Amino acid sequence: MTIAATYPAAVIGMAVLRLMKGSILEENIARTVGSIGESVAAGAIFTIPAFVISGAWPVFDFEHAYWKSSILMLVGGVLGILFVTLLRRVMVEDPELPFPESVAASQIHIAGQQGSRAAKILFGNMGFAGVIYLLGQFNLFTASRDFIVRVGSLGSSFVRMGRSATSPKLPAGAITTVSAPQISPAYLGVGYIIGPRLASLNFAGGVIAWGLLVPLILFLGGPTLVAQFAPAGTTLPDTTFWTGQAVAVWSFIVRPIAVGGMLVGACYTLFRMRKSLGSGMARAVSDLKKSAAAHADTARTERDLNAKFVFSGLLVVLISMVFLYKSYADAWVPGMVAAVVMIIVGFFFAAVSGNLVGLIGSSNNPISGLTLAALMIAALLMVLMGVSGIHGIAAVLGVAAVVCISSAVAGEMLQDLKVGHILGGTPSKMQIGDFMGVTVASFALLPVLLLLNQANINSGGMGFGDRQLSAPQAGLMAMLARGIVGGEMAWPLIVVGILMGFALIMIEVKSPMLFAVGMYLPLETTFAIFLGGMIRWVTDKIRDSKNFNDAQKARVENAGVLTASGFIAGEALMGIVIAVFKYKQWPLPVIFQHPSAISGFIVLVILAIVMIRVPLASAGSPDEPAPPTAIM
Amino acid sequence: MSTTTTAPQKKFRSYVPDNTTMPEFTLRAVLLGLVLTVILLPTLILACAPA
Repeated sequence: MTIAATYPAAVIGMAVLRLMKGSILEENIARTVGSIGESVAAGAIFTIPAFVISGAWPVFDFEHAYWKSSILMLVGGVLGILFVTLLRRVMVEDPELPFPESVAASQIHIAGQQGSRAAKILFGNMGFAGVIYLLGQFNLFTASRDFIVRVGSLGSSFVRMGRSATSPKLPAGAITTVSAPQISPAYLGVGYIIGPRLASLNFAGGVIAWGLLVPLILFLGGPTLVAQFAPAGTTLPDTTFWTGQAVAVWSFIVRPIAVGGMLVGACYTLFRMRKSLGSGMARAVSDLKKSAAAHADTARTERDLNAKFVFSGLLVVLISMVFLYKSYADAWVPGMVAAVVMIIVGFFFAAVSGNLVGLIGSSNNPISGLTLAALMIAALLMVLMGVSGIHGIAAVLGVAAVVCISSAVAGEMLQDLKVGHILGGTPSKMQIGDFMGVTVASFALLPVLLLLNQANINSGGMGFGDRQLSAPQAGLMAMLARGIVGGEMAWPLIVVGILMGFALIMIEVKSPMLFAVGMYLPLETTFAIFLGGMIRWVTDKIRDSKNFNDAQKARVENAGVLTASGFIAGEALMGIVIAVFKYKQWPLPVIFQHPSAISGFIVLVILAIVMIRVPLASAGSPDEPAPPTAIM
Repeated sequence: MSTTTTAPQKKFRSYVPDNTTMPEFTLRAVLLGLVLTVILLPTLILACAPA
């Protein structure tokens, strides 16, 4: 999960350009350029610290790390842009992809132009969601809550391993936790836009993770966990111990299973996209033969960057990566293999990332999960080629870093291109803007990372990897790279995840990838998205029961999307404000020291009522003409 | 597919039609975007990194 920069960029860009009497397409360019850096940042924070934590970069200062990390970020970003340029048209026109956050961002620009009832609904709900989010931060209610659940009873529960009364017993019993839905207007908004089917599928993964696997593993493994990890002499540990064990089981057992499922899910997604990918590539290859005049004759809203430029760019990146990876692996053949693998895996994962952004939005794109899958492929190849030790780890992390940044940029860029598709922007101009944004972000990012690292060291820490600066995703990458290259990987977890993925395909699950992502994301997130989907289902049911005509139904649908968009954007904007407070260590107001669960439930009900009532109240009279509508 | 159409017609049409010309890739739009990148980047990193 990342904070979506699309909304602050859209709102601030719109506000500034309106003062200068700018056009909606200028707003589109400003948002595109302003938001792409977020994806470079997300990719970098997941991978660059991994070089430090793993020991591949023993010295992490400006002199030793600036060019190495900036080039990795730039190459990843450029690759993401080149890949998406090849895939843009087929993906933005795919009717199976609702692109919830693209719809939300486009509604901000459109409502700003109309200055009418649409603007009132959007900006009113943006303010409302922002206030709710802030109240959660000020402890009026608890946005996140975990519940303790006993699974059997330690000391008395057991499973008898046989039919007779004298068969041996397997001791069992533990305590687990289950998260309530996060009280987040943004997640409710995402669920509302993607609808009940996709929201349920995503949540199903969370139910399997936290309703089946975590309690099952804890129930059977509880006595062993106590013997291994509880303080000496403790036979019945407290709930704090069990909460930690539940999170550890999810992080280090269930999530690797989910990554195995994501590997199969990614392959299946690619298999289902084969026609789109094929036609996208065929179109790009046919564009190679086009003259400059023919390229200029293409409709403005269909004009991508010239294919000759894209393929030449890919070639340049490939050659430069051979040299970079050779320096990491300290051998030519592994360097060349790593570069080729990086290009192939990067292209396919860019497509998968774009598909996921189309389904659930860029903020929910499981980039770290995709990167772990890429890392495993790269690590296995390095092991097969006999590259080991610190050189092997550095090469593996080098591939992972580029694929991570490329996938993140591809997802964010496709989200922006979909906004441009809705608004009527020119794709090639947005793509050039993305190049500029990625370049600036790549060269501006490292000083911020160095600042974080040094601030931690100055306060007595050890930099990235320290308890106060754990950078969890980067830590996981470093651990896996070391584990696979050093032969310590728990492969059975990945293998059972792969088998689970095949089973999901066999029972015709609509998107095994989305299911596996549901296992990988925190339960409170998928639960909140699910509730948003259910709120949409209720709204649609009430709408259908009221015998509205088509024009009224369109107005209800419009107002629902605007309300959800306002919820997403309002929370994202206030998220930035709170992030500044946290970094500066400015104290936030505290309304209640220990807010009750009831207050959170009441806020959730209020949010649901607003999401149902505002659209239904916007139906208008039957004789009003049909409005312009945002159809997904 | 999203866009601006009347309710009974589902054919896609972008908000700004293809044949409309208006300022798009202007210096002020690009500069504003780059300034936003530089402002938003540190905030996003600092918010995400320690978690």
